[in-house]
Amino acid sequence: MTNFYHIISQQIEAGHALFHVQLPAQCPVYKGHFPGHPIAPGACHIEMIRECASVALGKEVHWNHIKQCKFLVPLEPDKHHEADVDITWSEKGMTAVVTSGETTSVKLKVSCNTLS
Amino acid sequence: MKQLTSQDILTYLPHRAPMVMVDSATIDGEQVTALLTITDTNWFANKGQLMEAGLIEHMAQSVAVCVKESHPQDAGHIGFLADVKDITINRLPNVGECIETQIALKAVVGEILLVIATTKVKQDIIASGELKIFLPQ
Repeated sequence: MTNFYHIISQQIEAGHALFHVQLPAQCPVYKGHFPGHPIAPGACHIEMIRECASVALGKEVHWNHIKQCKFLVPLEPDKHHEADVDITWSEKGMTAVVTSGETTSVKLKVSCNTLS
Repeated sequence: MKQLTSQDILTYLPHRAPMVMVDSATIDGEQVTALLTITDTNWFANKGQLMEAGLIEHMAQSVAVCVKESHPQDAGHIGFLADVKDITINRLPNVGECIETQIALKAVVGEILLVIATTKVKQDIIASGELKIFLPQ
């Protein structure tokens, strides 16, 4: 996942965190997804959310049940240079939304636990 | 039984490195099994394991391999993962393990394909769930 995103700023409070990230257009992932038609893979957003959640909770977060993840609008490296990762969690689980400007790209709902 | 090599897979999938998450497949009648051996250079490998996101991308590409096998005229056509639902992950696969995924078609609604993906390591189911793929015609 190296180079898919860089955290520019973060606000972490109890049960909620907001990360502002940069999405470098030169990330190698766009060469393969897809050649001549670069769009950010939905799966990369899932991993970005997991990594941001791990920063917010101060421990490696893993999920054993993803209730739903909607991939609404794929982000394009030429258009979307930055994004916000908004994460809310409680004992019951976690929800996250990835937006870039007016565009909502990904909505995730998971049961949260740390796998051994 | 037909075997698809990593070279064949590249004619089935529009994905290229580092985003190719199926490296071979077996086709037995109508049953397609998509395979991926986890390497530590995999884009979604972290601390010796394939992350949740890598499993989901592998499942989505397994669907694409199935679609191309049943509709060869569409090879190279790009489909998009629209939605995943109730993905249960019993454990993450380790580097060195080979994961095998089978796809069961649940419904086709217009340009949307609804499938259940089941991923195993040897005989153990490690993950399963529902995927919705948008295949624009």
